[in-house]
Amino acid sequence: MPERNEELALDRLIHEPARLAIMTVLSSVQAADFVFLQRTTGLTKGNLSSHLAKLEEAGLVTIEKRFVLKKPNTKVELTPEGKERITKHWDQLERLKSLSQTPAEK
Amino acid sequence: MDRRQLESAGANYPHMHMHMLGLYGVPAGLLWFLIGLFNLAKPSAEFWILGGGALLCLAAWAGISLYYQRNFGRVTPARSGQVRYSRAAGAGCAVFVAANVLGIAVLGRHQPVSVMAAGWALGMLVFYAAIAGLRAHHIVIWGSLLVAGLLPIWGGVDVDAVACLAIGAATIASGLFDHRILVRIFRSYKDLNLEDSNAGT
Repeated sequence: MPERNEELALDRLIHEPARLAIMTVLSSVQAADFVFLQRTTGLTKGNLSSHLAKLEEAGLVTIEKRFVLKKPNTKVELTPEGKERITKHWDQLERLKSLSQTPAEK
Repeated sequence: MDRRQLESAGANYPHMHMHMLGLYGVPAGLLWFLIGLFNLAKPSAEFWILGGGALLCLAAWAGISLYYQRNFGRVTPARSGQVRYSRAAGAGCAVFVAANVLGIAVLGRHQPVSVMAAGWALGMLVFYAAIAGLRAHHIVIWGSLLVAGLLPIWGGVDVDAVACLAIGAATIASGLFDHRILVRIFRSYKDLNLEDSNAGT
């Protein structure tokens, strides 16, 4: 059985496509609300809520429920750990991509 | 999944980046119209007309703000985005002022060209180029105003008042095109097909 290469291992929590999208969008802004995340990812309310709950549970995002102009609003922000993990994850993907483009040794 | 497309969702949209929220260009353009018409009127129109019109523009501004928040959401831009926006706005203003001062110093005040229209158009081109790169409609709309401002066609009228009308029209047109692009960008995110992903894993 081939030995697992830890250096190339991907963060499974973040690698899930919807969560990767959420984390990537959040990494390019300081904070965003639920509506913005829904519009940029195309996820349903229920699905987005589930993904956000999972990310919050892992300590990667903070969720603040508040009222803006008397309307409920959910503000989402990456935690410092979340920022670090998403940056590392994309770096890892870039490394894997460059490895796949390197010609194989004979 | 395209990283750039996802990142642009955040980077292109922040509320601070008004250039993408083009509908704001409508009340802003109408305000320019109002100022132009107020200055053209002989004798000058009553101040309450200008004040009332400005209040209407302000109300439209608030309505548009609500529309964007409800339909596109709220974003606090990253610090780098805020700095970039401030720099672009500063550069645009500086170009406008410099072009005006230089134009008046070289050509004088009573010329058949509009230094104000040309200067404002140049400032807007610099602003858009610095904030996100020029799009075709920016070049066409603001480029046309720049060229028109430099042509000797402005004789016999209150040049600055007519320039306000032209700037107003350009602001509205440019804003509507910007808004159209924003809607298209957001529509393209639906193609990501993330709904199939599993929230439980």
